[in-house]
Amino acid sequence: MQRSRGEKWFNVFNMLLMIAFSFLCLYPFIYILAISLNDAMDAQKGGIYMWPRMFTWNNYSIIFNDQNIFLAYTVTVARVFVGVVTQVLLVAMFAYVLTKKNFPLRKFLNWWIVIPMFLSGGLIPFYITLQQLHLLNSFWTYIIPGLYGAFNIMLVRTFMTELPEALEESAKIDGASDFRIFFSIIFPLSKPVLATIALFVGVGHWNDWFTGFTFISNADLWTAQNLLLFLIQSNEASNLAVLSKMHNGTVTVTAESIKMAMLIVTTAPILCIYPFLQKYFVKGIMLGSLKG
Amino acid sequence: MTTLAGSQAKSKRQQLAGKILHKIWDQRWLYVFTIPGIIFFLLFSYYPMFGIIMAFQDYNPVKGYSGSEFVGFDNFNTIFQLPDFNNALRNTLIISGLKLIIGFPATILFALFINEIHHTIFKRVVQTISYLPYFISWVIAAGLWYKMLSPDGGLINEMLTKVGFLNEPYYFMGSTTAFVPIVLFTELWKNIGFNAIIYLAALSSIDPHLYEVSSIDGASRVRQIWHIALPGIRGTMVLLFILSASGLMSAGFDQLWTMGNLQVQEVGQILDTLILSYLRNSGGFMGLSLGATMGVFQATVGLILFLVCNFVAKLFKQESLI
Repeated sequence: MQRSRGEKWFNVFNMLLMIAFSFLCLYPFIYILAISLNDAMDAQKGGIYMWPRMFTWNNYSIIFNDQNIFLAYTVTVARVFVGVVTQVLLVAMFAYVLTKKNFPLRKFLNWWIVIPMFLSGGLIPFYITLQQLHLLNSFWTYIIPGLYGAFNIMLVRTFMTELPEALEESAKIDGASDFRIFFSIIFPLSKPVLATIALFVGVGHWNDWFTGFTFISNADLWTAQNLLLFLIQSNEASNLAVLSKMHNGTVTVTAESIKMAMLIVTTAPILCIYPFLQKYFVKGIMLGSLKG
Repeated sequence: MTTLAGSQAKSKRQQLAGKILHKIWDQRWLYVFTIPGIIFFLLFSYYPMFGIIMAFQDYNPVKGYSGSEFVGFDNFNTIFQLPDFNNALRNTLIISGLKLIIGFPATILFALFINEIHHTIFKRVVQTISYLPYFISWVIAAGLWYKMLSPDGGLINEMLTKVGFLNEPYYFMGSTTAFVPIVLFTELWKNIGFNAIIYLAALSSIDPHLYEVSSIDGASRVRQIWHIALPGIRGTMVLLFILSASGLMSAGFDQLWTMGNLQVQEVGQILDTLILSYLRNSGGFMGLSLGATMGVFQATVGLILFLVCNFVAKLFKQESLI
């Protein structure tokens, strides 16, 4: 293809624009990373843009040695793990049944999950529900109200409908129960879509701050996101109070520097895995953009 | 005779019952697999839906739904007289309206630019980087931008004072003029890359021959975009516009809660954040009913918007969202 001069300029302009855009996406992270790796007192003088000036691991060593912060990360990892395993299993089982054309409840079940996608009682009735079920203020608050996702069920159902029926039928002739068929044929064959929703659910659990913030008042059960939100929204003085409670004596860090290091530590896992997950997410939204 | 016929009918009924039982037993695992889900949606979706009756009550947590007094539409009358509610409703519409007006064309433009990159690796790298902010929570995003914009040693202030644009640091996040533009900017920053995916998919399904033929005819890149790319994604554009228009009652709860603060409540309080603060600070019982009423109002208008938009989508493209 021949290229005119105008076209060349267009390409150069476009490239530069995209480089600028990528920089804008990345830069806040670089900035925070540089500050988090810099001595806290020195960082207050400003002037750190890309690299730390007085390099130190202090801010990070405090995070990894602080019991509250360590606990918050433990809770976060635990909820991601339990949340993903339970939801993937339950959603797969539910979706499998929805593919059974001769199951009398199929139509009812379809409606049962679709209606809540359009109607909701709102936050306050939901809160009252959790209260009445004694589900406020416990680790299970993170897990139980999030066991199923209607959207995920539909995604998995769409995938399972496309699996060859012959496999299932031959197993049926051999006398396998639905239980066996599901666990030894359907579940393993659905791995690609299950991986997709596992990632959806996992990132959702990791990023969720709302559940802990709204339904859990016991700070021992907070996740990393909750701790961060607390540090961001409360004022400096109370941050320092928390800090000095954590480290009686030599304070070489500031609330600000701890916050920066926590931002990085909370982002890092996502940062490391998202380039590998993105294709699953892309697949997910493409599937989701088709009719449910 | 009658007894014989009776017993025959009875045995037939027994047979039928036996058949049904047999079928249920045959499909026992299918019931086992779905019963937890049925209970789940009953408890966490349908029971809270039933809870909207509190919008018509003077709800008292001690007495519960059954013991609280019904007040008809009093709560609705009350909320429309609350300055807080009217402020939040206005802000919700302004913020989500602006997000739609700016975000919609910006996303398409971004997708078109990405699509015009012909260097495969460069394209993939740019795309991957552009998704990054999508995957972090709004807590992190708010933390990053609070720091960037901080009057106390934040980068933006440092830069602006250095070049002499500002004499002293400006508290962006606490400014009622700067807050909404910041909300719009950070929304774009976080979501534009990911939202462009659908457009990119639509663009890649355009027949490449069209481009070849038009470039033989001497069409410039801009003309190709205008006459080939844009018409090629029109269906997607209409659908996505309608879909986002139906979300006009939600202005971005996570973002507004994590970035908002007391100083900017006047412009940054939206319905979702107001309802949450009613839940957290209600103190008296009155607040719960009022908060629930606001929720019912928001959900009802949202549903109507969705149905109207879905209808319009059908008119446009024989394709509905549900």
